[in-house]
Amino acid sequence: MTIPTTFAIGATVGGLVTLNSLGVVDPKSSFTPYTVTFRKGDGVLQGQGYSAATWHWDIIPASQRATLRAYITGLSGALVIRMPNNEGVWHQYDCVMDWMEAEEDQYATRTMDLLLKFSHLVIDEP
Amino acid sequence: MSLSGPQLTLLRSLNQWSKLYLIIRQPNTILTATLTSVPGSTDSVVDITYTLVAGTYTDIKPGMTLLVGTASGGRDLGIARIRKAATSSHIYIGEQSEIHWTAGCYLTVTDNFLPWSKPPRIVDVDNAIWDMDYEITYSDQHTNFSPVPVLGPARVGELLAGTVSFSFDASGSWVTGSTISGHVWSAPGSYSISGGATATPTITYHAVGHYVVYDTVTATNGKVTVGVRYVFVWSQASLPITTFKLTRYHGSYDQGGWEAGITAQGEVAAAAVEPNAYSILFAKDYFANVQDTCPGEVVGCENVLMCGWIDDESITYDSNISSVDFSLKGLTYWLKRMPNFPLYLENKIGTPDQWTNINNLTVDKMLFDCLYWRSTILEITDCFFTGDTKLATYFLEHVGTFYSQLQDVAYATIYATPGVDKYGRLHFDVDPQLVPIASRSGISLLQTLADQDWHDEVAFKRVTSGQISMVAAGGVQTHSDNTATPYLSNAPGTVMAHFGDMDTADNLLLGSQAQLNELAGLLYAWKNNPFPQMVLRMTGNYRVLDLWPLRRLQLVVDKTDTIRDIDFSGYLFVRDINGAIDENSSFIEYEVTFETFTSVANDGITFPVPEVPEPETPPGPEFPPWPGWPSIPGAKTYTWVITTPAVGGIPGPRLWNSLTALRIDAYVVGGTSITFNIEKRSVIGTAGTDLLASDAVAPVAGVSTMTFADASLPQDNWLWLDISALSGVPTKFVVTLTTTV
Repeated sequence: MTIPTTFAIGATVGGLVTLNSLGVVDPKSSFTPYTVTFRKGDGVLQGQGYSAATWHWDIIPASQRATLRAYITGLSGALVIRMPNNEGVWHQYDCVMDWMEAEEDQYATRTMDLLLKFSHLVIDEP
Repeated sequence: MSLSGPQLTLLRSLNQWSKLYLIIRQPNTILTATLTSVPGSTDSVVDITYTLVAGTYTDIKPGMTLLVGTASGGRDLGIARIRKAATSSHIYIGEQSEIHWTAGCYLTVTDNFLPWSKPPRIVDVDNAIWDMDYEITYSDQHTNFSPVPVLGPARVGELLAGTVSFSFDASGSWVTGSTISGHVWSAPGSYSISGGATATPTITYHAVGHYVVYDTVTATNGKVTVGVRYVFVWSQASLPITTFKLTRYHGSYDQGGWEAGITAQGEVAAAAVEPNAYSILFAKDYFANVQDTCPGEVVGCENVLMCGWIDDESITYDSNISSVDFSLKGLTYWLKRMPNFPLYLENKIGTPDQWTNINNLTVDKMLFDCLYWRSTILEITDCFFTGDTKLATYFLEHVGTFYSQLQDVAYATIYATPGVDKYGRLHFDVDPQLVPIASRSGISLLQTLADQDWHDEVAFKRVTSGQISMVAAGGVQTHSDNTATPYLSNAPGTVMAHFGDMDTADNLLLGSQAQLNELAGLLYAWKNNPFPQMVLRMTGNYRVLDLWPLRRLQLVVDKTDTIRDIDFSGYLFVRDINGAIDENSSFIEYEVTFETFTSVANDGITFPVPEVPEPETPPGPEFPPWPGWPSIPGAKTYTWVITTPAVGGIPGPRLWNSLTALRIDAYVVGGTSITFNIEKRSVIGTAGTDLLASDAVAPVAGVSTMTFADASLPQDNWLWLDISALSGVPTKFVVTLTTTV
């Protein structure tokens, strides 16, 4: 199955919808393929642990923030996202999303530097 | 087992990580009641009467746990093992003396199957006759043996799409001297059982819970044993405990098993955790960020990190949060804490007729007898014995813990140690280094380790001077007629090696002189292993590694890889495993201490057993009964020994305290006699007072006299021997004065 190349979010795989369809602009994203590495006996670096990612908006309107916030009302929770890895390959992932622990920089009806962190990424594709 | 190609691919894949879960078992209540009448004594209680509150007494099974408390469901007064099936008014418990029964106290029977001891009861001290588990009299138990269920470990599974199924395999169940003829499975709370009358049923559940599975194993000889295992079903909607830290995860060959340290908040802290609750630590595993089955030793249990029982807790709290630290201890720990009465079993020629004798006694028969009749171990977990068939004349173990007794039986005789794997299965394996080199190819080769399977560095210890200069080993081969042949062997030979201490191994059970020579050689090689320790940090999720059962791994260290040009190519086995989960990556890293198999072992040499000479002198005549020594007061003596005696005086000692003369004895050698007396003198050079009323005559045959003129001997006086006449030519004169003390 071909994975669409658009950012998406959902409580479940079945509920996955694009950010655009939610009226949320696509974020700047980063992808960390390995959360731990070590040098193997053959000299090759081995990456282990789960993959992690972030979505970042320099400025995001309050309404869009609220849309995202509806997926995780607490500090952290499980959901499904779609995003590209560092090679530009798009995947759907089951993951844990952490809302910002730090103080949010809110200005008028906008939030500055909203950063969402995703960990424990598990490829979840048909 | 050996790792397959796909399994190796998994272990060498990227993005390996795990989600850890913990389930602390909450036993199901089978019956609740109140105590009808308080036992007459708290000592040796085995039978109590009850008034039913709820439940069905026929659901009570031996091995379950009775809680006794001052409130419903409580256990503050104590716990006991259900000994046998209950009746409508009686619950029969394992003999115990620690519960303080109170009128109307609450009784709760739960399906908690703990490791329990079954105390024997002495019924005839003089003839050493006892009953097992209070009232099981010997009949034919050592001729027609009971079967041993081998059902596999506890299972834990996630409810997906409404059901979860578990496949069991009890085909490894066994019985001495007979065969397994049938299985009957039951699984209260299950949705269905298929193949319930076979060794390999599939049991399906459609609801989360903590369940028990029973298999009634029947042998052709008609004997029956019920095996019990736990099953845990969870779901995303009913998650196990996830909020905890694994602070320790350690398996040790030397310690005989596994333990884990856990720090928990929230779920565990709030949960009503029963003391010493059974718990299972397990994982969901991911390889290349996709969930998959982690390679494991037991199919269907690959997700299990460890099973055990919770030990003491340590609770801390501050103004923000409370947490609890506790240990999960494997069966070994509890075997080391469970006391057991002495063991005695002897080899009997012919049909056994008591609990104390058995035909063709072996280590395995002793282990079986201890574990089956003295404990519940063989009902609640798999046990794999040594398979050793060497005969023994007897085993005697003094009171101790189960572990110490089992180890004494197995290690002191054939170098087999009890060890419990991460699943809680009990193994008795001969130390890997003592497996004959020619037989080691029969040990499963788990994998050949490549450089990509470990990271950072290999730390290995190299021993360049021998630790043991000689092994002196000895033991006996017991024959079926109960006679024994002794053997001795020395390794490396007659002459000790350059360095090292002497090591002895005696009281071994042997099969032949050749076997002892081989064993002595293996012992010597083991103690002088040039590479006794090699530590590797694995790059993959190596849960498949365990201390038991024995597995081999192959490793090649290229000569150019080390600064010492060490060229190693050989086989390893595991002695110690430390696992740790990295909080930032959820990767479980294993640091494994291997020991290299010794590759060369020259047999020891036969050391002649010294002949014990038969006594050459005939037995002496029977002596009449000794009348015993006469009772005499405390006394001391002064003796003159005069060679070439002559008429005149001979000074004696000065008296340091006042005494009384008791008797004088004297004799001469040569001549006919000597006439004498003894004076007491206040001044040594001045004549004093004779002790004897008249001079005594001492012949060759001697004289004893007690006719004293004055027997008193004042303090500071001197004794003085006076010889007044000689008859013949005496060559020696001996006089002894006996006084009070």
